Amino acid sequence: MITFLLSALLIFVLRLTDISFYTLRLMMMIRHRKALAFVFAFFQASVYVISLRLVFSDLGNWGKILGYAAGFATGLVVGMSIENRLAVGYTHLRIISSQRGTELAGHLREGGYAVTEISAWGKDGAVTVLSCNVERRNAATIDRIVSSYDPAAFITSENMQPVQRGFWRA
Amino acid sequence: MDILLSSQAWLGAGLIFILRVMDMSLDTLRVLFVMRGRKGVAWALGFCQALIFVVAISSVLSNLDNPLNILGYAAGFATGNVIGMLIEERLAVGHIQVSIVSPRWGAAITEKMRSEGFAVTEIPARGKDGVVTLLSCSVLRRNVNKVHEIVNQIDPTAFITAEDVRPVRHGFWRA
Repeated sequence: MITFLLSALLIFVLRLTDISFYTLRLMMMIRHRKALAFVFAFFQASVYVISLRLVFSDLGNWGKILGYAAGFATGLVVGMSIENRLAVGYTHLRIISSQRGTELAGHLREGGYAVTEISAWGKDGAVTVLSCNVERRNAATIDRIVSSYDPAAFITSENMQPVQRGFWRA
Repeated sequence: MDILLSSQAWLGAGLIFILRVMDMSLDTLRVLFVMRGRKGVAWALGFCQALIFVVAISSVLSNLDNPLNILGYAAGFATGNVIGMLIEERLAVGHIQVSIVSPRWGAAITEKMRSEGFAVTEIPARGKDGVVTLLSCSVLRRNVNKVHEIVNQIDPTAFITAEDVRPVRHGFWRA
């Protein structure tokens, strides 16, 4: 019974590791980060191929199969969480505020972020669209600043590749 | 250590490396095409990749009994991934939306871009130090460098960013 549990656990851990690397690799591919993709791919393949020899070639009982499947699924989630924590790259935030656009822009600039204000129209009249390019790890801070001054503001974000210059808060 | 001296072992590891590079390049291309919603190309790439995998890799996988083969496998996997990304960038399939923020030269950049055949939408906006022009320009991905060049000639301080977009309909795409 002990060996049964242990082998299932081992399979779970190995699969979790290699799928975490797999997820990280995919995310780096999407962001065109070749060096990081290379590193993660190397680890993914190493872990996979070693565990293939060790255990994956023998999934003879339901405990191992369960460990394999659970490791796969958990690995995906773990990889996504790590990627979020790493927060590699840039993001484009678009903030729509009906009343406090200029005030918000002022607060964001105080915080050291570059903001472009655009006047626009919404259902109930004039609104301000704030366009703000930041490093991804700063996106949560911006969200906090905006929410504290205008909780009704509408915020969306998109992946973005910086082509040239401009102002990036360190 | 005698394994490191046998040419047979090196040949085997080299073969694994090459097969894995081929298969992973295709796999990477496939994933990137799926992201752009190109079903036909994704199908063809998936077919070829699966074929290579089933015919070559799976027979090799059962034979990973020495560290050299394992290294060849991992290195091939990682290299194939990067090669796939390089090929995809070279192909530059798809569309991109370029945003250009210029404090003073917005009109000049627009005029030059239009004379080069790009469609540009000008949006007046405010930055920290007053009025700026935000130019929105959707182009084929392989034209991004051209746009960059034009903007750079007129205003080297302009701020340029790019986002992947999917064309929904109509509009004007410079051929």
